[in-house]
Amino acid sequence: MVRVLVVDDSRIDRDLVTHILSEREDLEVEAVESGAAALERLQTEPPDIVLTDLVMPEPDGLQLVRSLKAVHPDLPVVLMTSKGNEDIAMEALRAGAASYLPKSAFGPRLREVVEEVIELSEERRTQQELFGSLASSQCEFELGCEPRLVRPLVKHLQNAVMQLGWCDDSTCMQLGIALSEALQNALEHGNLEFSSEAREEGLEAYHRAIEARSRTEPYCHRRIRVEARIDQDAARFVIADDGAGFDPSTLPDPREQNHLELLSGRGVLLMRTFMDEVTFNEKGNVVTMLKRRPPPEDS
Amino acid sequence: MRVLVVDDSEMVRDVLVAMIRRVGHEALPASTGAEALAAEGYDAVVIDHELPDRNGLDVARELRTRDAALPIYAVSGHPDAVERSRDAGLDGCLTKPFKLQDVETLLGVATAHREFGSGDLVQVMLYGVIDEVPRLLDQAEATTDPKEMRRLAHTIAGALRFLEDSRIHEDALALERAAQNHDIDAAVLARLRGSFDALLPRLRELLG
Repeated sequence: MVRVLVVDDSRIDRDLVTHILSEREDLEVEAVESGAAALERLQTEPPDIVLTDLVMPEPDGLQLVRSLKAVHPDLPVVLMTSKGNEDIAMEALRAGAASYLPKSAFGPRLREVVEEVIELSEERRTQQELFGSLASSQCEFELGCEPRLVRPLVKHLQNAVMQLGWCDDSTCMQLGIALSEALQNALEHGNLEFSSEAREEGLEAYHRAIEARSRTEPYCHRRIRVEARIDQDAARFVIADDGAGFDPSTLPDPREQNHLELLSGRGVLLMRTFMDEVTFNEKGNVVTMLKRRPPPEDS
Repeated sequence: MRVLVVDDSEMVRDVLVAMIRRVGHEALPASTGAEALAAEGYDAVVIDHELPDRNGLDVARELRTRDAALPIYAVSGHPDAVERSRDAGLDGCLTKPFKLQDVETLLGVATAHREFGSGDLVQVMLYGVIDEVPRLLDQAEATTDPKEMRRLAHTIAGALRFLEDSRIHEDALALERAAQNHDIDAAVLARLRGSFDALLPRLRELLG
C-alpha cells in the first residue's frame, strides 16, 4: 500500500483528490485540512507522498514544504496549484517539491502525476538500497591536457562518493571544490607550468594561454593520473602530474591573517579547509587528499 | 466546449444556441434523434425529452453508450423532468423556463465533468460547493483581516473555478485581488453572496 497524505483547507479539493486517487486500489489516501495537521500526522505515521495546496492558514504550503524537507528530505511533495500562485509554486519547487499540478487539471492527470512521482521515488529508494550494500569503489583516470574534462571528472568522483551514502550535500559540494582546485593545480601549475600570477593578465587571456600551451611540446605529452578509493570510512584521492613540482612550504600559511586576499595558494587553502588531510610528496607533483566519514551527529 | 443541442422546437433551439454562444461556448444544433445520432465532434449534449422521430431519453442513452464520459442533460418543461432525467441516467436537467445563468451554470458543470472524465466527481464537487462556500462566505463577512480575506476569497474562487469567466467567479477573484492590496471590498463581497444565493438552487437541481 502506498500512503498518500492530502493537505488542503478546501473540502471540495480534499474530497475530489481523495475520490480520484481512491480509484487506484493500491493507494491509501488520507486528507487533512491544515499544514499543522499534516506535520502532526507525519510524526505518527509518515506517508509515502504528500499532495499539498499552497494557500492555507499558516503554515501554508510553502512553509509546509520547507518543514517537510528539513525532516524528511526524501519524502516527495506534489503541489496543487491554482491561478495566481505561480510565484509561490516556483519557490516551493526550489524548496524541494517534486512536482506540481494545476487544480484545473484534476481528473485523470492527477493520478498520472502521482503515479509518476511514486515510481521515481521508489526507484530512488531501491537505488539507495542497492548502494547501501556498496562496500567500496575505486577508479583510475589518466588525462591528457584537457581542461574541459576537469568538471565532468569532478562530477563523477562526487557521484562515486555520494553512492557510498555517508556524504551529505554540503560535504559533497566541498569535496567538489577541493577536487576541482587540485585538478586545476595539476593541470595549470604542474603540467603547463603557469604561475599564479598568470591569471592577473585577465581570465580570458589566461584561458587562451592554457589552450595554446596544452597543444605545444613538451606540455602536450604530459598526463594527470587520478586515483580514487572510497569506502565506508573515507574517500582518498591521489592526483599526480608530470610537472616539476613545487615546495608547499613556500605557500602562504592559512593561519596567517590576510591570506584570503592572496590568489597564490588559494587552491591549496581550499583543499586543506575542505579535506581532512592534504599531503604532497617530496617533489610536490603528487597530492593525496583524504576525507573521512563524519561521525554521526548527536541528536 | 462544443454542445450538441437537440430540440425540435426552433425557438427553444435558437435561444439555447444563442445563450451557449453568449457564455463563450460553441453550439451544434440538431432537430431530430436521427440528426443527433449522426452528429460528430461535440463535448456535451442538451436534449429534449420528446423528439419527433424518437424518445429523447433513448437517444441520450445511445449517445452515452458511445462515450461513457459524455455529459448529457435534458431540457424540459415537465414537472417531473428532473426526476425522469435522473432515472434515465442523464447528468441533469435544464428546466424551462431557463435563464442565461442557468445555461452558464450547466455548461460550467459540463466542463468540469469533461475534465474529470466522470460524472461522479461532479457530484462530489457540487456537494462540496454547497457545503463549503456558504461557510466561507460567513467567515469572509466576519473577518476584518485582509490576509485572512485573501485566503478565503482564494478558496471561494477555487471552489467556483468550474464557473470560470462567469460574473460570480470574477467577483471572487476581484475580492482576492482587493484583499491582496490590503483592502476589504464589502460591496463585491455582498454581490458575491447574492450571486451565490441565486446559484444554490441551480446546483441543487443539478444534483437531482
